[in-house]
Amino acid sequence: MKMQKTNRKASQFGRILSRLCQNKAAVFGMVILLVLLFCSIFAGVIAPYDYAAQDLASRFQGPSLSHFFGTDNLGRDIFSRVIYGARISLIVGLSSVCLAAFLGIILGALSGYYGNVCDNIIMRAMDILLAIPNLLLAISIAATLGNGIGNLILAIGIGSAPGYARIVRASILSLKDQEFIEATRSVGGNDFQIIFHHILPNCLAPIIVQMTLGVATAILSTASLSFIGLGIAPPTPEWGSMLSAGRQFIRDAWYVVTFPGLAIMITIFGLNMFGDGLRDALDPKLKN
Amino acid sequence: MKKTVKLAALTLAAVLTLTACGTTGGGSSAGASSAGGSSANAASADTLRVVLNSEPSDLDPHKNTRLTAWAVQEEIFDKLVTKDEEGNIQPDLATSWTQIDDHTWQFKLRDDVTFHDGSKLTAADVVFSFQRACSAAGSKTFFVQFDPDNMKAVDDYTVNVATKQPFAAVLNYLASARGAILCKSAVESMGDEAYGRAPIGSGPYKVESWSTGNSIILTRNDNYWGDKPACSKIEFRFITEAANRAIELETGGADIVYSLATNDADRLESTEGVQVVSGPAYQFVYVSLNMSDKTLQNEKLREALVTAIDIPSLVSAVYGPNTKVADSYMSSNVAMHASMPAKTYDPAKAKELLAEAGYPNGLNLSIKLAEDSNASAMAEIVQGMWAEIGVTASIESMEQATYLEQANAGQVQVAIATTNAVSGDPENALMIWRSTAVNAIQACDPKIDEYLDAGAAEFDATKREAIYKEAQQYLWDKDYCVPVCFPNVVYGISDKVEGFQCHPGSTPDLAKVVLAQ
Amino acid sequence: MPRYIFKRLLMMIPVLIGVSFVIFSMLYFTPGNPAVQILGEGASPEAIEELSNEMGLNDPFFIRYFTYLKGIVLHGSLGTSYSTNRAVMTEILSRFPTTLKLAALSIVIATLIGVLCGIVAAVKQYSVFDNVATAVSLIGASMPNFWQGLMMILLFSVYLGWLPASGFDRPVCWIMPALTIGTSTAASIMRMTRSSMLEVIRQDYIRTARAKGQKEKVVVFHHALKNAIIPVLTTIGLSFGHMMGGAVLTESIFGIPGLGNLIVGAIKARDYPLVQGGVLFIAFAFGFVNLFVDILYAYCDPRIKSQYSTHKRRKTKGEVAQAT
Repeated sequence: MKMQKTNRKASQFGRILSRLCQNKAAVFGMVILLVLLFCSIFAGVIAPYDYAAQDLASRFQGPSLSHFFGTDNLGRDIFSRVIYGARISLIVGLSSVCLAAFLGIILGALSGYYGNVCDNIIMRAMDILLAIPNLLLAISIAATLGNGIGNLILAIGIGSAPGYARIVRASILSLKDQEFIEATRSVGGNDFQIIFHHILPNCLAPIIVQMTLGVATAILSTASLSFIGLGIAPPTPEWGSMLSAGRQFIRDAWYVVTFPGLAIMITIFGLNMFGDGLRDALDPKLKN
Repeated sequence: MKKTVKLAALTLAAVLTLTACGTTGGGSSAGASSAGGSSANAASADTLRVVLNSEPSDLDPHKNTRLTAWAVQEEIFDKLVTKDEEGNIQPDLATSWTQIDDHTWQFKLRDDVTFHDGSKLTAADVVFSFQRACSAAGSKTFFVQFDPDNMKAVDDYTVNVATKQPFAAVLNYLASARGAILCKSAVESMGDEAYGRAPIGSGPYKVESWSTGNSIILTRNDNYWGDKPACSKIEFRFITEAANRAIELETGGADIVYSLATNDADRLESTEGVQVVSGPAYQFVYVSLNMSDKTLQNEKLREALVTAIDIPSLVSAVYGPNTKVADSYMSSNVAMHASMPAKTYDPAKAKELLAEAGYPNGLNLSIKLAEDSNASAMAEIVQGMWAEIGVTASIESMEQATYLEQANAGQVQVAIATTNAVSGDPENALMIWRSTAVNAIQACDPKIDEYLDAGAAEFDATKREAIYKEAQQYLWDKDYCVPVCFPNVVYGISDKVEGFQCHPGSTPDLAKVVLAQ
Repeated sequence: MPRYIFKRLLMMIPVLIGVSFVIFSMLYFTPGNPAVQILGEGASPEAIEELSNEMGLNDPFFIRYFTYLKGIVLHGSLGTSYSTNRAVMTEILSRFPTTLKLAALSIVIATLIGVLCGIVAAVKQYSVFDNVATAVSLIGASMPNFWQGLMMILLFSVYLGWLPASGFDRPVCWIMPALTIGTSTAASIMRMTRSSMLEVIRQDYIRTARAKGQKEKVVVFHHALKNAIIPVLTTIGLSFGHMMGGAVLTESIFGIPGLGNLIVGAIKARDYPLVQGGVLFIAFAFGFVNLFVDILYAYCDPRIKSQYSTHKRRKTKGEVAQAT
């Protein structure tokens, strides 16, 4: 019995993986993600300079062999800062998405499973959060809590939670009254087991897709917040704050603004491609 | 098919309606339609187009503390006295003045001045303006030394201006942008809110329209008592992006641009059709070391911190090579400035001093600043230089509102700060070092208060100068801050502009500008 | 139908109250005293205290909140801005048309790009066209708005000199900001169009139409698109709603006096009434747009329309049984 179950899961996973690999765009996205991961983990090894090393005598040097992306207004190597920036972006992106998913799943599960008053209250709360534009909400939360990575993760995470709540709630609503749930309850399964072992695995697919795309949005939000001045403060190299600091030099030193921007763009592009490919691969309608 | 067409038509109609009503309704609040703004570029070659770095919240001289507002107010209002290029006090609305006693100055006013609404300017308006300045939120701090209860209109054209203590800086203060004279009847009949949008003054220009978010248009006052300005209109536009301001100037979209970024100024100097005009200012940039902080009360430590900074490199990197390195705690353009010997840069000596101060293994400090690109760059450089001698500094950049709150509460250990003595008077420049001042410095040295009190009350110019020289020497030796530089005011003007003069307080007089064809 | 609309409007009220409460609480806990902002540097603690009391900043939380609500309900006033001393409503309404214009232009561009790319991607799924169409719509979405704006200014204003870098009064100024925002939002519309079209194309009636020998163009545009476009409407509506408050960065780069810029500036200046009023206004506008889209949706899809029509009473089980 156990063997069959494992085999079924493995072959399902295999099928999804093969479908994913057939999609060239998704593969491209995966490659970008792996490069990003590699850069963040091995930043200390890859980056030729320390991201905070200032050299006031060599400010605003164009791209060259010694400085691939040039130097910024304090003589720091832009290439190294972009690589370290990958680490920050990934940390904030992943953490905020995990936080959002965690909050969203719990709220959605409670809301969908217990229904009635609980459902109403939670869904109205989600509506309120959704009624405020995402960026403004993040800005308000960031202004209240202050700067710093932790507060940034909170600000972005809280704003994204409603999306996950809705997915989980919809999934639970559609499965709640099915017979296998009744069967589980009759053999003594409690609510917790039912929610987490039986229902959630079914909405795993849309959640994963949402999370992948969520990382992209989180990175964009981080950059946006840092650009305004809320979020990661100098000298930590974050792509958005590098853009913000460099925007007044755009006429004389185009490279200060171009490379961090390209980094953001390629990362988000890759994440989106991967997320879309994942969605297609996990689409149950394509199972045949 | 019909349904789709219907649907598409409906949506298109909705979108077009929104766009259309946006066009007619948008961009006007006090008269000028959006066509007014666009016509400026094609308008009479007689309109001076000026670009500011932000929009004033209102034009009431007593209600705001922003430089951009004063730049506009400079054209709308007159003051009792004014300063010429050499910094000497000249008559403006007042023809003559005498000091009656220690606390009171008597001014004789011109009798031929009318406000923009036709009413005559009398001593009652002067009294009203100063009394209002003493109680209004935005101007109260500046006018703290003035005594509203003893301001008197002796007759229609004679007025007594009173101060609480003997105050030598009176004329300098009244000559600053803060000394504007308002029209009493207009303020009372229009109410504060409306007055702030379309103020009535007696200056060379009056407010024609204010299109929120777009522009403020001033038109020439043909009943002006003084020399009539050459340009019939001035259009002020607001562009917050520094790079965009420079672009506007280069593409011919503006005639004068206030507040250019350093790198833009460097590039524009060698650009055709455009000039960069810079002049001395009253600003002083510094890194303050909280005087009430236990750690920083150690004099040797402060000396070490100052010796560890290569100030000329710092200034050159952030403000450019043409900016003057600070040689005192107040700008060289402020009256009674005394030049102090430059601080030496010696990291090895700094390390020794640090050890002598009791920190052979270094220490941790916290730098806080209100977000600003120059301040950020400075903080990072200072952090880097202190790291060389073993001092680890953390940087926290926050919004202005949060920073002000923390600074005033004494929670900022090291701050990147700027002070601007708009009146050009040493009392104005050094008042941040008084123990009663509320800011990041948290001054608590009674000797400074002694010096400043003596200087403020001393009417003899020579004696006053000596007092301030001693005061500056004292401050300089005490290393209460890392003195950085005196930034200039920098303007970009097109070649068509003639007669433009820099003003150290950042409020140039545009009435003298002529647009060549 | 009118009853449905009325019910929806009624349901918006608790949400709006909730929004005002959330924003009010957040501002309450935000560090920074607006009185200090107004008085400027060097103000004495007594002056700050006095002004704070005058402005009611030292009153307890609920008194402040209820005074605020009272203002809205009894006087229809959103309060007075701390920075400009004008009515918040006046400030918002002076900026709203600009934001609306920008959002309208952007949504047109986004829809054009998104729908076209979506159709191509769906009809030629998994081919090169699919990938190219996806890529095209994604490029705009992947570029941070502010970076895209900066790059466009560099190219079109500085190097080519074709378009002005800032301002919003002339039509030529609208092009770059609308393009920036439009291309960012095109991706989500494209995704929705693509998935919706894919679903519709698999339907039996499409197969039938093809079998009958209908031209591909007719099949795609007449049959498939007409049905697929309806869910896309929701996405378009949502995007439009978001644009109204979310174009903050683009507005800042291009110097556009819009609503988003106003609110962020107000947050920085701790201008509480303006922030509260602005966010409330946007939330209301957003809810309104959602309602409009839902009505449009119902109007177009006869299946949904019938659910809301009050003329025809649904037959009860008994009546149906009797009839047969």
